[in-house]
Amino acid sequence: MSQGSSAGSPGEAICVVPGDCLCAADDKHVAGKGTIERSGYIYSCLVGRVYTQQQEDKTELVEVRTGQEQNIVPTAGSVVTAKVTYVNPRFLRCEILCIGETVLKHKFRGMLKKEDVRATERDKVKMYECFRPGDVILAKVVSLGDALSYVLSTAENELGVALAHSEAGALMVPLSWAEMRCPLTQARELRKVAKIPPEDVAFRLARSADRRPRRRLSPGATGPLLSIQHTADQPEVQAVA
Amino acid sequence: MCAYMWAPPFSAVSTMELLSDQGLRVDGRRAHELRNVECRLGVFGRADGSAYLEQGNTRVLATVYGPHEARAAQRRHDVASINCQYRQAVFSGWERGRRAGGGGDRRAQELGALLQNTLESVVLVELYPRSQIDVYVQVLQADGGTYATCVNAATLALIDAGVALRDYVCACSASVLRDQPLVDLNSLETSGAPELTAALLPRSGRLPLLEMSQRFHVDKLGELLDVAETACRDVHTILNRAVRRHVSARSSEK
Amino acid sequence: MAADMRAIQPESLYKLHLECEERPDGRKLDAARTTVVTRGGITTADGSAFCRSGHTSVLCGIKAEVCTPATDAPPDRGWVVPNLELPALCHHRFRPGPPSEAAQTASAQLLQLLDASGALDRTQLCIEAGQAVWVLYCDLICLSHDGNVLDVALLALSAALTDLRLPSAEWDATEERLRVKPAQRTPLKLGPLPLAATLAVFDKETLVLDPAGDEEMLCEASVTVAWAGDSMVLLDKTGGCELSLEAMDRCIALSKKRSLELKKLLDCCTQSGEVEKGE
Repeated sequence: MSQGSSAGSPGEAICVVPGDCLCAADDKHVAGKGTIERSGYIYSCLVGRVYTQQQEDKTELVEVRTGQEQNIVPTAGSVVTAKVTYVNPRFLRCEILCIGETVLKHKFRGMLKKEDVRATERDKVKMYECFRPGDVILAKVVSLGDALSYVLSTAENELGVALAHSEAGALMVPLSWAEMRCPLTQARELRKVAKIPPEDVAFRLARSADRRPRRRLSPGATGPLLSIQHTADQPEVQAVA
Repeated sequence: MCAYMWAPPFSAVSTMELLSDQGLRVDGRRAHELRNVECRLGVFGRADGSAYLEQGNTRVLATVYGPHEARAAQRRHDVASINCQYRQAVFSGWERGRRAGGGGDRRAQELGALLQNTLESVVLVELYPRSQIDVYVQVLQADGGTYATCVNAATLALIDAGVALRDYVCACSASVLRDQPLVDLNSLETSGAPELTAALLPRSGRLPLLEMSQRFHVDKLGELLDVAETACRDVHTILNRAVRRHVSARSSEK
Repeated sequence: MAADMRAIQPESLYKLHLECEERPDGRKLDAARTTVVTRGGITTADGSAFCRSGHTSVLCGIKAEVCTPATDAPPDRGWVVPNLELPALCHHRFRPGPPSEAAQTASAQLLQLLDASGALDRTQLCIEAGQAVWVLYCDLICLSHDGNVLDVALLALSAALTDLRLPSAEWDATEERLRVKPAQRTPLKLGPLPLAATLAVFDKETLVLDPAGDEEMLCEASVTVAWAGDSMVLLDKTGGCELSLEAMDRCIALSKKRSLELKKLLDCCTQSGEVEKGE
């Protein structure tokens, strides 16, 4: 996407409030986030600055951004970080903690069915050998669900268990796409592991203790905690960069 | 424990004293003048949005949580549900309000429902399906025009929370006394005269709320609505200025 | 980012902070948050105070009414009725509804603290024995909850009692009625007011003063000690992990130091009558 430009020079704080008329809603201008189209004009619905972006079809997308964390809800296709709360042979329930890069203030409920755990051999999945309560997983939102929770899926290599504690209580190290090992007892436990560079996990745990500036995530990253690169289907342990 | 005997009396004032012959009211204002307004946004860091508003001696705090996941009973699949609660502190009024304050009584529930209807006209609920927005209003000191102040405080808190709104909602109370329309009543004037509370969406000029107590002559209604609308626009100017000041202070801090 | 760790693995992140002898908001383990006390903000109440410690704030308003004591109650003593509310607006985990167990427990503890400290002699509240006594309704509203509400509520209550001005009242025996002059007001004579300090316990040994909201959720136990002048009026450690005697001694020492700071703050506030800010 091309860089947007804000109305007015960068030093000025031109701010719009809900109800301010921004421009006419003609062929050249399209209402984006934070705006609403009404009676042929585009109005702002947030307090913030106006940004315009050139689209491919020569129209300008008019947006209003508050500059603060926006309240967002999970939408279909977004990658979320969730903590597993309940596991049974048919499905599991979890609490959605982050959507993409944004940490949520209020948690949402998610559900992962047995058929959506992996792409191959979908019916032969044993839930208890893939997830346990307390695991932190990366999943993709499939749909908004019907009654109680968002429907999730981990049927990709990059999705699955990111952090898990062993029965002895220690943080486990991933061995392959299906196993993790406890560093204290050396016992192996079965999980559906997400494909991530293992160095990143330890790096983040160590870095958060001191206040030095941390390195930025690589451009292809989609998860909030771990940098994910799309790899081939063959499960293999990635070399530490 | 013990039987009630005495509480600080609330002295009623006659209509002759409420509006003098020179057109001055008990607190020295003219008929069309609003009380002094002080407001602050973002007073509590932990809530998603908060605002503190004073109109004269009426002080109200509003807090917004959300949009967050709705409870099963209130969840609607295509729009957000707005949950409002109105509470008046027990020490906020002049009358003896021992347990009549708080959240549970009927008047508080009625005002909560009224606030919800008012805000539903202005919040873009289609943008937040399956979610809930909680708006809590706490009256700390009541000196007339309480509901109007609550509506104004709730608007500021929603703006602070970053909830998408069609427009501001600005409310004001009004009345007619000896053929003279008055705006922004204090508690003495409320007890002595009938009261009309009106809320306005300034850009579109529409009224989402109109509430009346006691009796008005229908001939006076047109003039009263015009006066109330002008007062609501004045309130809008004040709130708008406060919001812009808050935003520029916040951006200069960064 | 540290923000992700706080959502996903809060216990691990907090333990890492403790190893560095620091807390997420940058305080040392035995440092309390900045406390601000403002008195007399509510003109409709007879005495009021607003107290804020970090993001926790409590507003206290006292209204005085006159009652006839019941036949089974002491005839020459007035009443104090503290009531703390934790409304839905103070934190997103509270829902609208009847008072929660936490609120009711805290209200009972506030009354117990006032009684134990002997700060307010109830006979002061008597107008005429057996006929008319003052009842002080102390309503505390928590406006924002970020941990350690009890300490802040107690400070607000103590400050509001120093701000209280009772109207002058006398009982006319000949006409058998009460004469009250709302314009003439006098303050109460108060003894040493109770002031509390709460500490959270981690790993059975590490003590953390004035826990914030997330620390309160993660701690293994919490200890509250209240002082009125030089005497201890409350020592409360309900449940949680076991604590050694040496750790308990440290709790008592830290809380005494904190209560002296709060007392200094309250004294400054009472003298100057303005907003006072203290560490």
